Amino acid sequence: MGALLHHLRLAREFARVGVIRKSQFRVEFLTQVVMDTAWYLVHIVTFEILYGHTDSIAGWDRPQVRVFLGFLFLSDAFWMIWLGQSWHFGRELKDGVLDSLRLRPGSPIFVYFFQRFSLEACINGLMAAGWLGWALSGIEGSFSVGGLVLLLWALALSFWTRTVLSVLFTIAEFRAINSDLSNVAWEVSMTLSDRPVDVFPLRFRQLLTSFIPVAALSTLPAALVLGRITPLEGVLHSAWIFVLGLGVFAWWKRSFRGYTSALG
Amino acid sequence: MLIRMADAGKTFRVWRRKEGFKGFFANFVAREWTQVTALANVNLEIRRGEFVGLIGANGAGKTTLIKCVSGITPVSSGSATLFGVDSFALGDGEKRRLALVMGQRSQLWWDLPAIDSFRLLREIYSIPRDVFERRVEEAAKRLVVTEKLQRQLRQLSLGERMKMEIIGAFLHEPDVVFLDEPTIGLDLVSRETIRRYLVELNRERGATIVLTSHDMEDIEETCRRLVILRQGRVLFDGDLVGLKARVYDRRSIEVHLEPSSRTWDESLAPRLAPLGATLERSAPLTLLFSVPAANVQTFVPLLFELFQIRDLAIERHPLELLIRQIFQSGQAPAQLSSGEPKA
Amino acid sequence: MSGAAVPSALVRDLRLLVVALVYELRKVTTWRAGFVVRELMRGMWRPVVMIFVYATILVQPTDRLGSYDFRGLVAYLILAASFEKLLFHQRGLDLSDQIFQGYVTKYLTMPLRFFVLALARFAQHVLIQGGVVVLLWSAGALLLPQWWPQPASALALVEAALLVLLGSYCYFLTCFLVNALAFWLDVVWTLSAMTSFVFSFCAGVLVPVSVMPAALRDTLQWLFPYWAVNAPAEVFLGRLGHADFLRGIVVLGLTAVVLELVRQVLWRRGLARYVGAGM
Repeated sequence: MGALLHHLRLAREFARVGVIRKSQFRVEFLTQVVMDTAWYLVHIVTFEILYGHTDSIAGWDRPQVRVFLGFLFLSDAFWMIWLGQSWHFGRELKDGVLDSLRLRPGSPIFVYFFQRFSLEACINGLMAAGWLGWALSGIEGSFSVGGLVLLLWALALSFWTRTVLSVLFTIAEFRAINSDLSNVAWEVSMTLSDRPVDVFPLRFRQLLTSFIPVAALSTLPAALVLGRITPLEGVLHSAWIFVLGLGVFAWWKRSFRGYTSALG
Repeated sequence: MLIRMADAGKTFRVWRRKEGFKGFFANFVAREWTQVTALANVNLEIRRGEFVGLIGANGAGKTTLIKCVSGITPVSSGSATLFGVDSFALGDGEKRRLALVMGQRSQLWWDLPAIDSFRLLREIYSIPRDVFERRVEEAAKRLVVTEKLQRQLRQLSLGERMKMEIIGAFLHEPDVVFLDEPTIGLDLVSRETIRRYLVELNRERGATIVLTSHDMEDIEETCRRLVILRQGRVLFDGDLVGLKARVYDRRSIEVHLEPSSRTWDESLAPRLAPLGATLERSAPLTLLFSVPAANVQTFVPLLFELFQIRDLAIERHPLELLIRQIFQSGQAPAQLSSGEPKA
Repeated sequence: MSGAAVPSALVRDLRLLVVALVYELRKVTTWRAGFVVRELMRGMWRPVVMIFVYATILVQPTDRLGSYDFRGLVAYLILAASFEKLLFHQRGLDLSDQIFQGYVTKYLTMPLRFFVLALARFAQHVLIQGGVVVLLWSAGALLLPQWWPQPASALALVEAALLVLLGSYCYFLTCFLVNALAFWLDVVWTLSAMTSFVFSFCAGVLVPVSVMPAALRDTLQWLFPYWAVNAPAEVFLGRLGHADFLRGIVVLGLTAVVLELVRQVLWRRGLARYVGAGM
C-alpha cells in the first residue's frame, strides 16, 4: 500500500512537471493537439469512405465502428498522456541515459515510462471521450449503471494493455540496440489495432487476443460495451492480460539487468 | 567497509568499422569486434567518510569504475560491493544512500526550473517537505544560486547547472556520492565554490565522496586519498599528503632567456645530472627545470653560467608534474626516481 | 597568380554529394538490426492490414469497391506500399534536431551548401529503398505470381517510376520545410508526424482516391501526394494513360519549383534568425 501511494505521489509530481514544461512550449501544445485531431479525422474519414460502399466490415456496422474508434482514440490519448517516453527508449538505451534508473529508488518501469506527462494529450483525451460518448449515444439501449461499469472496465482494460505493450516492445531494444524495433513493433501493433481484429484470419486473431494482445486496445473493449462478447469472456480476457502484464514487467526488469550503460 | 572492489574487471566489445565504400558492405556482412578491457584486477576499499580522488588519463577507466561500483553496470569479473551488497543488486534501501553526479550528463530535467526537478527528487527519495525546503535553501545559499532556482536548467550557465546537479545529488543526504568530473569546463570561482562545498559536506555530514577530475587543483584541495588509474589498473592508491611531501622536495625553476642568446641543447645535460636536475619543458626562450630543493643554491649559479637569463622563477614542484610523469611512464610514484629524465 | 583552378560551385556540390552519400550509406548500415527494421520493414504493414479489410468487404468475387474488385485492390495496395517505401521518409531527416542542438552552426563556417548534405540523405534513401523494393518485388513476383501486379507496358513502368521519383523529391522538400521551422518553433516532430499521415491519406495509400467521394477526389487530384503514389500505381496498372502522366509531371514539377523557392526563402530567413540569436 505504501509503495502504491509512493508511486501515486510520483505520478502527481510527473503530471505537475509535465504541466510546467508545457507552459514553456505553447506552440508544441497547439501543434500536438492539431496533430492528434488530424489523426482522428483521417481514421474517421477512412471508415466513412468504406461505409459509403458497404454496410458491414467483418460484422461491424457503422455505429459500432464509431464506438470502436472512440476506444481507439481514448486509448491513444492515454498513451500520449502518460507513456510518450517509451518512444525515446531505444535512443536513450543506446546513449546510456538510463543510468539514473539504476541509481534511484522505486520501480524503474514506472519511473521511466510514466515520466513524460503530456498536458496537450489531455485535450485530445477530452475530444476522444466526446467522440466515444457521441458514438455510444448512437447505439440502441438506454443508459444504465451496469453499462457505466462495463465502460469503465473496458477503458481500464484498454489502458492496462497500452502500458503492457509499451513495456513489452521495448524489451526488443535490449537485444538489438538502436534497432528501432520497439518503435516499429509499436507502429505495427497500432496499425493492427486500427481496425477491428475480426478482419483477420482466425489464427492471427487468436495471436492478437493472447500473446500480443492488441485486440484489447480497442476491439475487445468496444466488443464488451457493445455486447459482442459476454461479461464472462470479458473477465477471462482481462484476467489473462493482467497476468501477461505482470509477466512482461518481470521480463523487462530482468532484461534491464543486462543494460550496459553506454559502454558497449 | 563502504565500497569494496576485489579483482574487479570490466570488458566490453567494440565493433571495428572498415573505411570507404567497400567498408560499407564489409561492415554490413561480416563485422569484426574487439574486446576492450576497461578495468583489470582492480582492488579498492573505501571507508566511511573518506574523500577519495580518482585520476587517470582519458580512457583510464575512471568512469567505468564509478559505473561498476555504483551499480549502473556489472563487473565482468571479480566483485564490487557497496554498503556490503553486490553493487549490481542494490535495493531501494541502498539506493536511498547513494548519489551520482556526472559532469558531462545532467541528472536533472533539462526543460524544468531546477526547483521543480528538486521537487521531483523529493518524491523519488520520499524527503519530508520541511526537511526538503530547509536543505534546498541552505545548499542554494552556500553555492550562491538562490536566485537561479526558478530558472530553466537549460538557461543556466555551466557552473550554475553543475551547482544545481550537486544540490540535487545531496538533497537526500546520501552516505556515498560519486562525482565524475563535476568541475569540467567551469570557471575558477565556480570550481572553488564547488570544492569548498564538497569539503564542508564531507566534514560536516561524514559523506563518503569519490571524485574524478582532470584538474589536479580539485584533487589537491579536496581529497585526502588519491587513486591513480592507468589502462584500467590501479597504479597508485595512497595518501595524498605523502605524495605531496614527495613532490615538495623538489622545485620548479622557470628560466626566460634573452633573445638571440644560447638556448638548450642536449650537450648540456651532463652538466645538470650531478645535481639531480631535469629539463621538464623547453620552448625557444623558456626552459623549465626540476631540481631537488637542496640543490637549488648550486643549480641557480650554474644556470647563470650557462645561459643569458632575462628572468627566473623558483616554485614548489606542482603535483601536476609528477602526475603527468606517472601517466606518461606508467610507473607508480614509488618506482619513479626523482631525477628521471622525461620520455 | 597560379595554382590549381577552383572547381565551379556545381562541381563542388556534386563532389560533396558523392562523399556525403557514401557517408550516409555507411551510417544507415552501421546497426544491422536497425537497418533491417527501419529500411526493409518500414511502410509494409498498413497496406497488408487493408488487404484483410477489403477481403471482408468484398466477400463475393463479383463485389466491387468503385471500379476495383478485390484482386485489383490487392494489386493497388502492393503498388501503393512499394511506392510509399520509395518516398522519402520524414524520419530520414534529423534537420530539426541539428537546428535545436546547434550543430548547423559548424556548417555555416565551411565552404559548402548545407542543402547538399540533406540531398545526400535523399539520394541514400532512393538508393536503399530502390534496392529494397526491387528485392521485394522480385520475391513477390516469384512467390505470388497470380496476385502480383504486372506493368501495363514498359512505358507505363517508366512513367510510374518517374512520377514516384519526382513525388518523392517533392515530399523530401516538404520534410525539409517542416524541419526548417525549427528555427522558429521549439518542437516540430508533431508537424512532421502530421504531415506524414495526412500525406498518406491524400496519396491514397490505404484507400484509392478514385473510391473517395467526388468532391474529395477532385480536390486531391490537384495536390502532389496523389501524383506521388495513387496516380503512379494506376499508371502502372494501365488505369491512367499518357495524358494523365503528363498532367502529373506538370503538377509535380510546379510543386517542386514552388517548394524549392519557399525552401530557399525559409532557410535564408531561418539562418539569419539563428545567427542573430547568437547561437
